[in-house]
Amino acid sequence: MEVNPVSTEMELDNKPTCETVPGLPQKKHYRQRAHSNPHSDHDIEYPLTPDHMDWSKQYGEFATGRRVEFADIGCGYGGLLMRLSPKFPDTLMIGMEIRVKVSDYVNEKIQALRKHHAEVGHYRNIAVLRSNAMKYMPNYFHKSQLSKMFFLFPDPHFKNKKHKWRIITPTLVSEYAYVLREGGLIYTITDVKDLHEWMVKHLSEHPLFERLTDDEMNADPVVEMLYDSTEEGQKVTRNEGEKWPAVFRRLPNPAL
Amino acid sequence: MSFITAFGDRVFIGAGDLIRTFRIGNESVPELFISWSELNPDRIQKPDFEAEKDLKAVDKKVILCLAHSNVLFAHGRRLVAVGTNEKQIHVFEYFVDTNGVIVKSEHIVTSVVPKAPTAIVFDKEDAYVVVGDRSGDVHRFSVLNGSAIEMAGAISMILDVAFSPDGKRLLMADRDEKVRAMRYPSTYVIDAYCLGHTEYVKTLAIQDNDSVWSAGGDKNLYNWSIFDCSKPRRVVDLSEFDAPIRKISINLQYKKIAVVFEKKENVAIVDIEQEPAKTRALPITNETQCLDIASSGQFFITLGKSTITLIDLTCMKQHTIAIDDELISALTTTEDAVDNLFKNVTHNNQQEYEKRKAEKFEQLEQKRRKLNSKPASSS
Repeated sequence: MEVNPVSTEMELDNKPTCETVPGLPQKKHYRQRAHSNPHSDHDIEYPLTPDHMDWSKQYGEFATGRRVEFADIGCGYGGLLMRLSPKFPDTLMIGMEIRVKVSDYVNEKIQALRKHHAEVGHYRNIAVLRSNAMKYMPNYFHKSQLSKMFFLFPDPHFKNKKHKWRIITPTLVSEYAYVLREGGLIYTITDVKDLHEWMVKHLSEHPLFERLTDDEMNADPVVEMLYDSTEEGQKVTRNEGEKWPAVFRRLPNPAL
Repeated sequence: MSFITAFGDRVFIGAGDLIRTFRIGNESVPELFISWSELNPDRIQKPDFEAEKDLKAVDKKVILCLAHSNVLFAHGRRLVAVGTNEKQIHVFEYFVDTNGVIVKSEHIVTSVVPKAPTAIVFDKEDAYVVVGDRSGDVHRFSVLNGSAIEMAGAISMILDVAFSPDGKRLLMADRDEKVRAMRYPSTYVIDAYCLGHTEYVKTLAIQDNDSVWSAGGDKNLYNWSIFDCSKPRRVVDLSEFDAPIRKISINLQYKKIAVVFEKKENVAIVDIEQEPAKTRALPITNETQCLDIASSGQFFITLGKSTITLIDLTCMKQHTIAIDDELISALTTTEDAVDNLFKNVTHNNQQEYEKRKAEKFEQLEQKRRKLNSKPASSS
C-alpha cells in the first residue's frame, strides 16, 4: 500500500521558536560532537524482539493499531520528521539517533510541538529513539515492516580505512532490505560527492535495490523535502554547497 | 583456544600452533598432521585487502578455528582448514589408504582474512570455506585458489557460522544476541533473525534443514525453526551448570546434544528426543576444564585442558586417549583469543546525561531568577 502525502489545510510553521511554541528546547543547550563510535558497547536499551517493543512510550494511544512505517536513520535534530509529520499524518515515523543529547533534543521538541497542537493532534505520529541502527534494526522492526527509510547527510567517514563505518555498506544494505518491504524506498542525500557516489554504487549494485530515475524522483513529493528540512541541509545551503539526492526501490527477493 | 573436529573415525585437534590427528579405534597418541614448514610458498595468497599493513608479525602462531570438509560425495576431497592469529586461512588435503591410514597430507592454499578469524565452516560442496571474523564480517574463500568474497556482515563480533544440510542456508551467530539465517550463496537475502538470546550467541548446531540449536552467554539452549524463527521452538534451561555455554555438538544418530561450559569439567548431555529434554551431567575423567567437543558415529569426543576423551553414547562410558607432553603443554598454555564476550559498557551515557542535564537547567533557572529579581531590588 502506497501512502500519499496529504496537503494540510494550514501549512504548519516550519520554523517554530520558543516564542511561538512554549517549551520548545533551544538547540544551543543540546550541541554534541558529530561522531559516535557505532562499534563500541553503548548503554543502549533495545527490545529483545520487535514484539517486545512498546511503541506507546513513543506515540501514546496513537500507536494502537499502527506500525512504524518510516525510519529516519541518524535523524540528527529531527528536521525531516517535523516536515514529514503533517504530510503523512496517519503514518508512524521514527527517528533513530545514537547521540544522547541530540535525541533528547528531538524528543523535547516533539513533546513541545505536540502539546502546542494538542487540540488538533499534530506531531503525534513522530518520535525519536536513541539507538544504534547499525546494530539493532531487527530488534525494532519486523521483516518487511518499513515502507521508507531515510539517510540524510550521513557521516562521510572520509578516511579509506573508515569506509566500513559508513551507514551504507553492502552488508548493511542487506539488513535494510530485510526490514523494508517490496517497493519500499531508501532516500539518501549528501553534500559529499564521494559519499554520494559510494552510496549510489553500493545501493545500485545490491541485487535487492534499483535506483529511481530522475522522472520518478521528480514525481515523488518527498524528494523535495530531503534538501532543506534538516539542519545539515540548511547549513549546506548557507555555505552554497551542492547536494546530491538518490532514491532506491526495494526489489522482490529472487525466487528460491 | 583449542579445537577438535571429527570426520568418520578421523579426529583432528588444533591447539596453539599444533595440528594433530588420531583415529577412533586405533588409539595411538595423536600424531602430527602437517608441519608449518610444509606450506608451499606458491600457494600462499598475497592479501588483496588494504589490511596488508595490519598483518602483524605474531610472537607465536595460534590456531583460532578449525574445520573439516563434508565429503558428501565418493570423490569428495578430505580437507582440513584452520584460521590463525596471523589472519590467514590454511587449507590442507589428506589421502587415506584402504585401512584409513593417512598416506599423504599437503598444503592446498593459504588466504588472507582482513581480521582475526573466529569461526570457519566448509560449504556443502566443499568448494569454499566460509569464515567469520572478529570485526563482524563473513567472507568465503575458494578452496581452489584462495580468492575471497565478502558474504555478509554485522556490526558485532561473529562467533559461529554453520550451514543447513542442504547447503542453501548460512547461519551466523554474533555477540549481539543474534542468529541470522541467510540464503546461500545469495547471502544478501536475509530470511530471518532468531531473536531471544539475552547474551552473546557463541555456538550453533544444525539438526536439519529447518532446525538449528544455539547457545551462549545466557546459559540456555535454544532450538529454532530456520524458516520461521519468530520465537524459539524449544528452550532448555542449563543454568544449573552455572556457567556460560562454550560449545554445543549434536549427534543426529543418537538425538543428543553435548554441551561444554566455560571453565567447567562437566559436559551436559541433553536428550532432545524427550520433551521436556532430559539433561545429565557428565564429569570428564581427570579433566578440570573442557574446551571443545565434536561428534562422530556413536561418540562425542571432548577436548580439555589436558585430556581427550571419547564418550560412548551406547553406554555413556568414557575412554581417555593417551596424549604426549607437547600436546598437553599446548592445551594447557593456549589462552582464549577473547577472554570476555559479555558486553563491556564502561560508562552509562544516558544516566550521566540526564544528571548533567538536570544540573544545567537548574543553573539556567537560577540565573534567570537572579536576573528577574535584580530590577525588583533596585527599584
